Amino acid sequence: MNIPRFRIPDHARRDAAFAVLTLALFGAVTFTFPGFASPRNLAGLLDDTAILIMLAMGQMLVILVRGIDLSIAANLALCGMLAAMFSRAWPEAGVAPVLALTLVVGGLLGACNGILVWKLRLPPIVVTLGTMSVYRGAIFLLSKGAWVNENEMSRDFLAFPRREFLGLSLLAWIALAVAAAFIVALRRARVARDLYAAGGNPEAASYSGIDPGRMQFIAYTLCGALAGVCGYLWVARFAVAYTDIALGFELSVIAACLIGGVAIAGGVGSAVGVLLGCLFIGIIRSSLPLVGISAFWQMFINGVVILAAVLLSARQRDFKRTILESLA
Amino acid sequence: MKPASLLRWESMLAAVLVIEFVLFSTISPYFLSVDTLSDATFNFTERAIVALPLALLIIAGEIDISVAAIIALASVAMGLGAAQGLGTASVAGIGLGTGLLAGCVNGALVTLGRVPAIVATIGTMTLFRGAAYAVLGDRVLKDYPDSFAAFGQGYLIGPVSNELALFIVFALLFGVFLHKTRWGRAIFAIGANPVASRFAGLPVNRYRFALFALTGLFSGLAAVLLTSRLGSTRPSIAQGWELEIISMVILGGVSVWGGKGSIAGVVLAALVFGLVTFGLGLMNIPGIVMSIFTGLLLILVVAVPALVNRR
Amino acid sequence: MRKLRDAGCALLFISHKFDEIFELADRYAVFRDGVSISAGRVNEVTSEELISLMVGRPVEQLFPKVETNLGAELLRVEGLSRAGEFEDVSFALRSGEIVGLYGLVGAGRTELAQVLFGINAASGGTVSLAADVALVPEDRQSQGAVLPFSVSANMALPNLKALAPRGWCSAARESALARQWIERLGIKAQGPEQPVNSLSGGNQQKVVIAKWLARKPGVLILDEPTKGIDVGAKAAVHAVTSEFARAGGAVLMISSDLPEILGMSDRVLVMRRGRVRGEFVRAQATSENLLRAASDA
Repeated sequence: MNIPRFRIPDHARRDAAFAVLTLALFGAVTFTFPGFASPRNLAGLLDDTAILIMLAMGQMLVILVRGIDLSIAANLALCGMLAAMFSRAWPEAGVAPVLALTLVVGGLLGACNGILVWKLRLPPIVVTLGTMSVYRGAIFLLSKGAWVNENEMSRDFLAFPRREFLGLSLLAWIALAVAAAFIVALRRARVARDLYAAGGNPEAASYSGIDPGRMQFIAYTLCGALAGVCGYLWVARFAVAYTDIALGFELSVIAACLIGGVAIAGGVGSAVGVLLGCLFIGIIRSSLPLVGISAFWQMFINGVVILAAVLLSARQRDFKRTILESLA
Repeated sequence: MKPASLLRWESMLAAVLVIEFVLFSTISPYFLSVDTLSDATFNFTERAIVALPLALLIIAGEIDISVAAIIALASVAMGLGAAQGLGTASVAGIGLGTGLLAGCVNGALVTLGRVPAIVATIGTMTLFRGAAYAVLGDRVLKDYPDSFAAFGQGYLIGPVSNELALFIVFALLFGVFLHKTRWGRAIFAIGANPVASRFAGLPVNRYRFALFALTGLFSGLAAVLLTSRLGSTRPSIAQGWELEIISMVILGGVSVWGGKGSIAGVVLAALVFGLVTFGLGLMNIPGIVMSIFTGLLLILVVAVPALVNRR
Repeated sequence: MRKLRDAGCALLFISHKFDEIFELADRYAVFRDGVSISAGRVNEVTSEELISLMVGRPVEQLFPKVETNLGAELLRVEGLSRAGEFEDVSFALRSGEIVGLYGLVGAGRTELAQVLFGINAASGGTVSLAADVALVPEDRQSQGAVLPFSVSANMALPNLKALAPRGWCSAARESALARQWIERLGIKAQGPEQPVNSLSGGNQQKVVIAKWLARKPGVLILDEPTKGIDVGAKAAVHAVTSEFARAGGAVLMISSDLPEILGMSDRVLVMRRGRVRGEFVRAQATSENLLRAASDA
């Protein structure tokens, strides 16, 4: 018997249009500042945007299943502080245990969000608003407010993301690998189809045997794990760990997802689009100093980007007010 | 017409309040003095004044997490006005006007732009706070006229501060409005079922817009009070307040899904919350640790009823 | 469905519609109030027997349509269109009339009703009204009633201005209004404070109808008013509708239930794909005519 199969929505047209837009932006900046397109500068751009790319991939998963994760930056910061303190205490241990530690702890922190949203059907916005504060505060409790400085971190710890291959930092390569993995997995993997179904039409999905709540749990855990590892990468790249790192960064991550075509109502979004969204924001951010605009404008620009993206999306689709509601 | 569950919630809050009083007065002998208690009120009046319209907004099924950013924007606007030499009345007017305008932006995004409230206010939160940072950078604005301080630092009668008096008056007005008038009834209906409300002839979008504008206006008022109390403006002013204000509303028994809640509950929650933060402050616990408490409280307040209902 | 059955599937088909039941089903089972009442082969039972099994008692006249004198025109529609939904619809409703609006899914009837009521705007044409319009919507659970609210709160919702002219709500007034209509329509509720979500479908529908009748409208639009409700309530809804027309109101009744349309209407308009394809007076209307007009190429 032929039961119609659920098909992942086609984002090709939107992604192509946005790619053109991003290229146009890049072109405009390069036209004004020819040095912008130099390999060195591009490598630097990718290095700067790497963490945003990885976080945005994770956030995309969460938004796909009608959730949102405001705690992603606090998760990053907490795991980053953990990584730094670990390195300070056991400098000979190397990078591998740090990666494992941050992956696991980040995943656990994400799973906390996921459990509350899945089992108790709590609204994601309220849950992650709460965990955001709890995780941030936990950094203070852990570190007692003290910073971990460069000279307290082991050489391996710091060198790892900075190693260069073919002109790009390892950090940039990791981000590209993660992006590529997401692009491929979201088209092929069975669980990807279930995620899209759970977000696009949770009722129909549950009739097909997919548990939308469980999909949310998976998304939050994966997002948290990615955030955890990015915590180590952030701390190693900036060579410092303190309570307020990445404060407010969750808004840049969400902006990148929204402008990349991820629908806030769930069920729609592509990894390619999110990658382009990150590059778009990254280009704007690095061109600011060239134009002479202070870095203090970054947040305002993010706000403009978010609002522009949601206004444009709202005209296309009929929204359900889903983020304040659970999948109940 | 209040459901039994809500009355139980308010009684529980009242009980918690009593426990707090007992606890803190045993910890510190100075706690029960009128002066101390009067000081304690400053911990919640500004936030609570915003919690009142926000409660209406959440009951109507919406949300606004840009309230703290509106406070910051209004404060920056006032600082700029004061720096130009404007008098107290004008400065306060600028604060209120900025808040109202910001609220209207939110309202327009949700009703005309058809953007879901959560994303719209995430966007405006970033925009407004971003504007504050963009304009001010790392500067501080301090040139407020002397009489401006009266809002936040003045006392009406004896130990009752101007802020507390304002809060009491507005709490009463909001309480009557929400629970006794037909507009309040409409707000409950819109939150419980916006579609059926529309089919019943209620102008749902007009109500939504008005509530966003009102929330913005009162955020502006909070900005006036806070700025006048601090005497200065930084772009980071009221950072993190959105979490605390929303927590006050939810702790007050307002359902996150809309359609249920009471002003009495929100007032009690504001008292509970304010007293706890004041007490923790007395014990020298830093703000960031207090926010762990706030975060946990918010989660508990929505989790416990959900757990109970699962059985 | 027959294909699936022939492929070996077993089908459990839930319905109130007798024509479908008798055409498709091999066996039947009757449930009432959560209890299984009876079961058997479809070809060994008549529809009257099924009805009395469903209701628990024999049911009198299902379509108490009374002949009335037609009065003044209360609603006139000329060339009304709404892009993408319906176009060039013209008709008029007179006081005392019940006009049936028949059509298959996608014909545009609900969309027309919503424009007449004022929820959506038309893109062309005119609507002239000599009286207030009330709409009992298709989906009573999400559009018709606020389920967690009480009977009296639901009844108050479209009548807030009348119940609280200077803004002040009075629980006493609302209760009184609710009690009045509970009695008039025979709503089975423990009292005006009972939450609507604990009422049966038929009683919920009665509440929805009551809240609008309390507004004393001139024109009443009913969109699938007896869908999914028990036969006893169905009869009550029809009785109320007839009474409303007899008292001088005009009714536009949207229905997919042919016996209902044929039994209740003075005239029947048939829509298909957004246009009015046929108009039949009571004497001319038959199932064949209506079906043909609704589905003809």
